[in-house]
Amino acid sequence: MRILIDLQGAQNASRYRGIGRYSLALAKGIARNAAGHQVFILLNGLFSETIDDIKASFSGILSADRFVIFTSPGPVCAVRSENIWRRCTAEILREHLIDSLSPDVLLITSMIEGREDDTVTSMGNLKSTVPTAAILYDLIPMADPEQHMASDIEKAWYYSKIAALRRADGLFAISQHTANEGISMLDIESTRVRNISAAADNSFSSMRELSTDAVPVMKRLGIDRKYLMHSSVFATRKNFQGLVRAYAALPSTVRADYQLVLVCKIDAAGRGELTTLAKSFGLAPDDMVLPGFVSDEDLIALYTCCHLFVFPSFQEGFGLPALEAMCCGIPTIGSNATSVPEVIGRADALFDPTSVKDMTALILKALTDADFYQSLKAHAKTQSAKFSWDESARRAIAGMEKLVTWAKSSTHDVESTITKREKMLEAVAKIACHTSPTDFELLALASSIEANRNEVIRLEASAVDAAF
Amino acid sequence: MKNSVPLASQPRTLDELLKLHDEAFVTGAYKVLLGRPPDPEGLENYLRQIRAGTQKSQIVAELAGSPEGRSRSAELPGLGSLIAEHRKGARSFWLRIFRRLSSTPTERIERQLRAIDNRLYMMEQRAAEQNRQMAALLIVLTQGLSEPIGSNFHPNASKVGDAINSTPRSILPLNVRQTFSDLKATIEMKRSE
Repeated sequence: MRILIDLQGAQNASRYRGIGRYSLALAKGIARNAAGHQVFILLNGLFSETIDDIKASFSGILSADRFVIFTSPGPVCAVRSENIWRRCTAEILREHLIDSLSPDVLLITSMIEGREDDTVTSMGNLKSTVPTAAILYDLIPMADPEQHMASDIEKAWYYSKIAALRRADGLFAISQHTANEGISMLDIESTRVRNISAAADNSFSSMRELSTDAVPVMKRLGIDRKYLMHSSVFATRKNFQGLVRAYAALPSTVRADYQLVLVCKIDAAGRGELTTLAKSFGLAPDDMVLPGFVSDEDLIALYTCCHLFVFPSFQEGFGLPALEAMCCGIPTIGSNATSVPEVIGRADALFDPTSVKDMTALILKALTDADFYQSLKAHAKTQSAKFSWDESARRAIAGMEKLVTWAKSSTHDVESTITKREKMLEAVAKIACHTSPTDFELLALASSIEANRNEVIRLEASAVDAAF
Repeated sequence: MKNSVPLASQPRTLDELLKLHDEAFVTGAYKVLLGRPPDPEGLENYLRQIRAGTQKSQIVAELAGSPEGRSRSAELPGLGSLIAEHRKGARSFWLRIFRRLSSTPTERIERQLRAIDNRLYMMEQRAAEQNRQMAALLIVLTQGLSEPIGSNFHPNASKVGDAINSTPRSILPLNVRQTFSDLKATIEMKRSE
């Protein structure tokens, strides 16, 4: 089976975030566990500065000739209306390139991309016979569009990506909760959705020695005693406010021994809000610590030295920080909402995130009941061991094998290269009818079409053992 | 984002930093004060502020005064007094909000002027980018096309089609010329449908 992985999610701004890390780690896992399958990686030439780094990160797993670079005129980002001609044609060019390569299966690591950058994702502009799977991270903006999307142009962009997800032959969800949400909110058959779960990076591990002494790190960040910790992006759904309230409601004799460390990138307004909240509950200035943005190294030190990790989020696609903390061997309690219970994997370590009383009670139990605390600690190790990139990759490969079997059972006419090219030109021409590109733009497009054709020729030539 | 100006070298003095504009300023400030490139949220946040006319010195003070900035304590002549100046003016978050709401007409006009100044800079950048693309096209037409053309060209230019078709065979690769003609023909056909 020839697997093509669209890895643009590791090229754009997402590469600093969870989605980019997930995409890269999963793609590497698939390459490592490919066994008899051949893996190819599709990258976007508009992010040329990222290509060498990504290739290098696969060294020893995939050779450089397994990377396919796709060319299109840019810029194409969706929020700028002047990009419409380029964005629409770039989608067609990308689909045409994939169709020309005709892999046995395509995996799109991140579909909902390209609002403010040059990522190109789409499905179904051209009639393709390549079975396609996409990773499903969450559908949080869909549940509450007004809160998450500011403009109509943004909404149109988001729903076009949702439509593309619906057209995918298979969806690989990062948790069972997200899989269920995909089935109900996207209204698709449950057989097309599977949970492939997620994992933490190997650097989060209780088996590792800290590369630096943690004491200066703690001192620098203003931590001077044992602490409770929560880590996430700063957003309402992460429920930082609820945790501050629950911490403040602890009996003062217990609370005095612990600081509350909230690890998140936070602006002055957010900082002001939390500080005011803490003050209104009578907390001393050093009770709550907001270290702001921290490096990966500091983050690992913070996890490793933390006494109790509390994850009170209302809404998650997976809930990676809770898993990272458990990988570091830290007793972890959290919200009983959405995907968090799957990650924590233990009913008596969960609280209702909407109830400060409930949260306070469980924190208090963890801090004062030594047996409970020790059992949480033991549980952190066994539970976190259930998640690994190799396991997620194997589930993804099994899912793709199934898609290929389905595709083989349905018969369809194989189109010739010439027919495919004509259909691509027609699709582009249709766009031209209402966007009136200049001759300059058409020349740029023609040049991109030829660059992509050369890429197909290169791969066909290098594929002595019938790769592509 | 794509049209950002690469920073030739890190600014060495406060004056050099404050002379930078738009994205170059935000990137430069992060490099000097925090020793790293901005994270996407940080870049977005400060770009929004700078484009709305926020004083650059305020952003410098904010970055240098953040826990991360304090832990690095970058050495830049004049930085200390700038931070002290801003502390005086904006000791608390609420005071700053209050000041923003109660700003005088002069302050508002100054703010608008800074926003306009920044917009002029961006227009200048865009014009330079278009010039660069025109130059690239000229090279393509005179020396032949070896690299794919990566971006949009000046929308007002016309008659390029004629130029391409009348260009001697050797100048543009035949397949690009063929694809260009096929594109034109297909569009004509679709239009007449």
